[in-house]
This record gives sequence, C-alpha cells and structure tokens, in this order.
Amino acid sequence: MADVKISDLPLKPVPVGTDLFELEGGGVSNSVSLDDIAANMPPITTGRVSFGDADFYIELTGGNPIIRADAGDYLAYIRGTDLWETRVGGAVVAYQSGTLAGISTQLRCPAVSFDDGVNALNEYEEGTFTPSFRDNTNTAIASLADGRYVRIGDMVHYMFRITLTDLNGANTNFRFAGLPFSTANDYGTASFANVQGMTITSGVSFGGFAVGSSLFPTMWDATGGTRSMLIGDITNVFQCTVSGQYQTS
Amino acid sequence: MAVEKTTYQKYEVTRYSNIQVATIDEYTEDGKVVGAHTHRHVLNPGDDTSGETKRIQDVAAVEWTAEVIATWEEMQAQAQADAGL
Repeated sequence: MADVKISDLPLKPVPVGTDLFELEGGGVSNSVSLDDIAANMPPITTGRVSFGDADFYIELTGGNPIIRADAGDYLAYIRGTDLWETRVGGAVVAYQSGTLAGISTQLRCPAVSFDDGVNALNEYEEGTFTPSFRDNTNTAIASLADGRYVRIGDMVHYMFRITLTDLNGANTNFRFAGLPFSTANDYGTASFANVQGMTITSGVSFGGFAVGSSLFPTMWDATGGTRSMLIGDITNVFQCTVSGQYQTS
Repeated sequence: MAVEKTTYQKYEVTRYSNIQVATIDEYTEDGKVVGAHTHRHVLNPGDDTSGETKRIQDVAAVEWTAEVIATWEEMQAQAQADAGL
C-alpha cells in the first residue's frame, strides 16, 4: 500500500463527537468517530506525561499515577483569588482572596492580614533532656536526673529534677549542664524549689542564669548579695527541682 | 500488628558552632507513625565527643577550630563576669 501523507489529505472541518472519519485500506472502506476512538483507546498503564519541565511530570508505575516534582515545583488549585498549593517538602499554602491564609508548616496568628512572618509559629517541640551537675572538669554522680522541655518558637521552657549522691570532685564554678538547646543570650532565668542537701539552712534565695547549654546557679543573702554557689554551700547529697525559660537562636 | 521502634538522630549547628543533637525514637505500626519521643543534648565547642556517633564527631571536627573554641570560652567567661560571678 502506498504511503499517504497527512498533508495530502483533503481539508475538512475539525471533526467533533460523532463526526466520522473515512478510513480506507486493502480495498476496504470503514468509518470511525472520535467517540469510537475515545471508547476503545486502551488505558495508559506505563510511561509519563510531562509538562515541558523535565523534573515535573505524571508517571504511571504499576497502574499508580505519581506526580514527580523537584524543589521548585508545586501543585496548585486556583479559583479566582483563592488558591492552595501543595509544595515539595509537604507544605500546603493557602491564600484567601489573594491574602496568605496559612502554611501547613507554620501556624499563623492571626491567620490573615500580615506577611512578615513575625507571628508565624514555625517551631514547636517537646521532649526530654538529662541534666548534670558539674564544674569545669568533674561531673557529680546523680541517682536521679530527669529534664523536660517545651520549645515554642525560639523560647525554651524547661524543668528538671536532680538528686546527687557524690560530688565526685566537682568543687568550683558549678553549673547544671545538659539544657536541650543552646541559649541565644544570657537572659535565661531559673526558679528553684525543693532544694535539699545544703549546708546553709536559711537566709538565702536561689536563682540562676542560662548560658550556652548550662544553667549557673546563684545565691543571694542579705549580707553578701548575689554570688555563685560554692562548695561550702552544698553536700554530696544536694538535690533540687528547677524550672525556667530562655531564648534559643 | 507489632509496633516497631526506630531511633535516629538529627542535629543543628548554631552560629557559635554549638551542635544541638536530637535523638528521636519513632514508633510505627503498619508503616504509620503512631508515636515519637525526642531527647536532646547540646555539644559546645571543645566538649568531649567520644560518646557521640561518628557523624556527630565528624561535624565537630569540622566546626570546632581552635579559634571557635577560644571564642566560645571567652563568651562563657564574659557572661559569668557580666553576671558579677
């Protein structure tokens, strides 16, 4: 059979629906419509449909359609000025009447009418840490050392309890080490409760400031004012419960 | 179905080269995460890393130059001095 070029075919109006094409081959003439083609076209079970972007395409693997995308791509639904996008990485972004309404990886308060991110909550975490009591060289032995924290944004709220059984040579420049995050400044504070195992029985109050990932305990009395906790203030069985907060970067 | 526990670590390095390590226990059932627990600790420049994973040790080896450690120690001393201690 001789080759037939498409350009050689007579011009016809664009067929729609049930309009028929006439097909001829082997001396036999047949007709077929677009509806016939649509009804009998075998389903695509493998391969891909791309959109001009080599990294963004729909792939059919084992009959399952999968949308592949790279870092810069997203899937969007747009209706007027309302929009949602599913971005690579899992973030879902929603706009309402053209204004950013929310990002699934951030909690925004209020939900609309700002765009600088100041009130966008993008960090929340709760967990545990293990506090220790030490000086520059030695770490005291503890029978109980249990810490809990909640981080909201860049603020870390913590509490811990520690019970010592032996100072193990720690004797100066005391600090509670092991805070869950590094501090952004030295404004971090601490409140002490249930302090036991002191050589001092009255007349002092406790405080502390967090630096790095350590909390430095301080003491205050009416005679000397604020000072560091000293080896003469505590015994081998020193224990306390502490809570506080600090800013992390 | 049995609940499976997987432990992994993630870390962040701060601007002063503190290494914040999160050890995460993740519990899954039928491939879905049903629970998790995070335990944290921080390694400051110059800290002993012998008990850490090789990955964390490698990060510390790269981050903690002599200059970084010296800067960190100066900051700590200054913070205590500022507090009048």
